[in-house]
Amino acid sequence: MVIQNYSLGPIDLASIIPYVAMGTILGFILLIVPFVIWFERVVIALMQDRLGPNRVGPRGLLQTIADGVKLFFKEDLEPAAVDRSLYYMAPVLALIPALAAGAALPFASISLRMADGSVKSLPLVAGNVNIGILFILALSSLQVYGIVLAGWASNNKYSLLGGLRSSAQMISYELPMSLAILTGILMSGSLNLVDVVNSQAGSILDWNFFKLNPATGFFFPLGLIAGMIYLVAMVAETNRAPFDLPEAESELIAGFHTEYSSMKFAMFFMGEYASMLVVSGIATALWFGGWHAPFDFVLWNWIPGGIWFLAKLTFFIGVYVWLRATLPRLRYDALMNIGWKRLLPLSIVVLFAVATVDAFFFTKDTPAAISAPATPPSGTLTPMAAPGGGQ
Amino acid sequence: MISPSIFVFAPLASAALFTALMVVRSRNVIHAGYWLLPCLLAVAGLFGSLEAHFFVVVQILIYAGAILILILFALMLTRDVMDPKQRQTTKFAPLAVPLCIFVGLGGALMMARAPWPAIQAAAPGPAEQTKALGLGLIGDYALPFEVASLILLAALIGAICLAKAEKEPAAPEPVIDLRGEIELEESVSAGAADGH
Repeated sequence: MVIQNYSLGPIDLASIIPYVAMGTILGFILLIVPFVIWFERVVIALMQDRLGPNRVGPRGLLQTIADGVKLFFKEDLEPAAVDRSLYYMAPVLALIPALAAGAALPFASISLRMADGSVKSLPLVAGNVNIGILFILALSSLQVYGIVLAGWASNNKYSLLGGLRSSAQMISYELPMSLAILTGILMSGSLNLVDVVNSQAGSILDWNFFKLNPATGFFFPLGLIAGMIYLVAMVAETNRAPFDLPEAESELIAGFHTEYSSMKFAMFFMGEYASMLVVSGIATALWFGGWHAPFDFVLWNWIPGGIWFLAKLTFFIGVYVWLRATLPRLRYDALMNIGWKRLLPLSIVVLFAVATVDAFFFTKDTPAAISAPATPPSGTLTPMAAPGGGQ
Repeated sequence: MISPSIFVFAPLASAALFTALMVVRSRNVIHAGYWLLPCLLAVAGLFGSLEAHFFVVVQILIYAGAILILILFALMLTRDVMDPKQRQTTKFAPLAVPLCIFVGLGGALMMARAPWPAIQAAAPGPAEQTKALGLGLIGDYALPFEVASLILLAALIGAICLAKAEKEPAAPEPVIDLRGEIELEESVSAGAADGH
């Protein structure tokens, strides 16, 4: 599907794509959250042989919107002993990094016919930065502040325990998650998420999760293991069941958000679902081929890439819900054991194995750059290596 | 001559300085820890104004995202942190002030006398920067890099030794250890059962 690149003077379709993508991703994350919550409630209810929300709107679809309106008009309580400034900052810090991380997430690609007749494929992404995946990783590492801050500022034992648990958990699972992402980067050969997605073009066999195409890369069990490590760590990073110890309601009342009410509570809720959507988006882009169809087949290729991306995203949200309905909460020492004794060594081993396979069979670099590491152009290297050495 | 980059540099630098000052001025040790967050982010912004995109991300990822969290984690586990009456002590201030002035003046002098290389060309793109950095770390700068990792390993082993050594004397545990409590409870209940 090729669209003519219309232009109005200096403004043409290609130049407004980042703004369109920015509006789309922000609007999507903010507007879809109520329906994700509805989806979760209904699916869990069906899995538990209940009806779930079914009074407000068709099939209860408007239930979460009604809940949002209720939360908006609720009294904004502020306990007497809280640390005021930190108490009010925490919900903001829980929501903003998740929304900002969406900026570097490419979710579709659009083909434009330029004025000279050539067809150009442009990704729909707000900021097509060259180190996009690291940018998302950095922002998602800031997410923990909202929770830790809330836990401490509430001046409540349960909140503090929730905050402490959350910080320990997120640090522990960030390591395997980063190493798994690094493995995926290595398999694709780029830090740019658009390039990562484009390296998986073709069929389901080219996706990093499977990757068993002998022509472009054969990492079959390795990519699968790294992808599974990422999926486990992603659930732990977003504090969702079975890793929802920070808000374990049977032990900690509500954990870090015990003292929060009304819209401040809703912002924590929004932040959690927004970060679920973002990490699922990374999983889609990094392991499951982004906007590419699972098979290179004419009818399937006619479906716009955004629809495929949305379908894969929905699948991961479904996995989240499925896990929550199925698995009981982990005990704390089991959580730490899985993170440090299982996932971390495994992800290091997989990283090294992928690096070995990559170096010996699928070298993407030009041989000149590999054979001459000691003689980079010194004019470009020295000024920027100096601050690195200074750190 | 004022280059336009001063309008980026000045707010970021003053933000970094102000927040660094607040880190040492805060009476509440947790607040001091949190003031470090905007400080580190401002430094990341300074890296960004130098077009060192990789360092921006690494600064946020490592310093703001991991190290500061560990600091806060350690602070929250210390005793009496919820007690607002506890004051920071500054009894070494008379010693610290001349030292700071000396270090500041010395640093300023060094920076003023250093022959700064003029910028030869536009900074390379982030992808090339990352590549050059990686090649530099395994090429020209392999030895400093390995020495740094060796020092970190030594620190790691030292920390483990210290933590292990602390366990041996029967001192009251400052940290809540659930497993210890469960064992204690079990031994008490076992003792009660023996008594019967």
